[in-house]
Amino acid sequence: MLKKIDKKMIVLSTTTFLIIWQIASMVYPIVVVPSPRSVILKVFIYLFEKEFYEDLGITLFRGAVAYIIALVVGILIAFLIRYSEILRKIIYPYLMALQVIPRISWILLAMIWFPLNSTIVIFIIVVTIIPIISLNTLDGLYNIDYSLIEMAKIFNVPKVEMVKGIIIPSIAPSIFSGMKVALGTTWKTVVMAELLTVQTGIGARLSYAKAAFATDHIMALTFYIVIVGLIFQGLLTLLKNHFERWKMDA
Amino acid sequence: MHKNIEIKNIEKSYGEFQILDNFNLTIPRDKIMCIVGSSGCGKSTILNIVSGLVKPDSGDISNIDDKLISYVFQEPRLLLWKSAKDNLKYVLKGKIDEKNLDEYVEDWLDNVGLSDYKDFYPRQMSGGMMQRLALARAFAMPSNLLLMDEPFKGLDAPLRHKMIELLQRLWENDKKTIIFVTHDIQEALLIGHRVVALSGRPAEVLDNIKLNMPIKDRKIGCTKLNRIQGTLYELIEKGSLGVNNCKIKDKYCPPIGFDTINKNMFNYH
Repeated sequence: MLKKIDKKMIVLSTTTFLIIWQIASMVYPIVVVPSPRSVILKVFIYLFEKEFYEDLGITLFRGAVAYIIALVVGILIAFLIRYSEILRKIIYPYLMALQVIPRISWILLAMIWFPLNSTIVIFIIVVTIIPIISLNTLDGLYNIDYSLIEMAKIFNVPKVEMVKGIIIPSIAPSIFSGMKVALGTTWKTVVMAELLTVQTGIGARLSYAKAAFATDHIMALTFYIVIVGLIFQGLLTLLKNHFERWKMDA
Repeated sequence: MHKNIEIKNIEKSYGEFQILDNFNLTIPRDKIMCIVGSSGCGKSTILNIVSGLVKPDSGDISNIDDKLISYVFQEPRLLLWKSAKDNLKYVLKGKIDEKNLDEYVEDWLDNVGLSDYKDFYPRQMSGGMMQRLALARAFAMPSNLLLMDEPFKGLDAPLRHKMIELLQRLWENDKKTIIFVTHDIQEALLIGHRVVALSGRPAEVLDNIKLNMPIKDRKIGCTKLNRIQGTLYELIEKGSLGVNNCKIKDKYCPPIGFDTINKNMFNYH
């Protein structure tokens, strides 16, 4: 629970922020800094707009599909690299290179390669987050405590149980931390890719708002992007805590 | 009644280090055999070969069923993400009748004094509690051979004595064949029906002492035990144990257990 002093600080900082924003909006033209009032109004307008929810749904769908594909492929790649010397030599350098290829290069290439629809957005996200998932999973795979496997072998524990009882719980924390970073990246990337390539989704809305110099819309949409992003981070943290109950109240 | 386990002509080397050279040992069934020796000179290798974790270069072990072995390691080796109860269930699943498993596990937790902690995770337990859980796991396993590799090494003296008493009690109730490796001669005397002293690399049996005193009568400081310890010390003094047989003279192979013995001499004589 928040302490009284924390509550006071939040109220104080929010008020100061709003006051500075209000003053800035009076000094600069509305296109540069719209007033807090107009932005808050847009936030409320979106709440009652059916098309906004449709766009949000499309964006979430693209993000989710890409996230799940990258998660499965990324974990698979990590296992291949960990347990095959040859595949490690072949795949690992590409993985490292993939990690530093700018997203904007992928966007440009994808625009040339693919038709301008959801595929392009999903492709961009997948190639961006696969290295994050793979490298984190790999980290977990290298950190499995071999002495526990040894114990299980001596006690004649079946192989399936070794995977379920030792390998998965050992790599889960690394996968979760990869998933967390990848989730943030997915959400930022989906909006950017939409903005640059397609006509639907929250990103496309941002693009239209920019074309119309509707800065208040850009800010209101960003507000929703942040809120939704935080909600998903929160859900992932809940899931992680559920899996790692044993780390609690030690 | 199972036949004694025979270790015959075992050879094992790691690179240039010959750990075991034509090593032979008979392990009596349903008794506790303690192997004493300085660290790094092959005791653990013997256990690993018996357990099947390490393959010997040559030689063999007879009368052993490697499906029915349990092990207590130096560290507890518990699954940190499973509760005390689930740690036992994890190794027992499929070996104990599913219907009685819960009851069986709780009985064993009770046996080592952990019934109040059955839902605790290892992180919430002390080092002694974790090692007690590891002991329960090894005894609860329906094995006929129990291997112990310096299981009480990391514990402080009073706790170690408590663990020895617990081990004595557990063995009295369930007489498994135990091979107990330690560098502490006093510990070996408290629990071993036989105490085997090993030389440094390559390991050779320097002495194989039979102790007839019932395990349950062995208490720290009891005169009879002190006398045996004294005798053992004399043996060492005469050189049967104290001679450093290690063929590679280096800092890893000091004369066997001298520091331990000297320390205990002052405490109990």
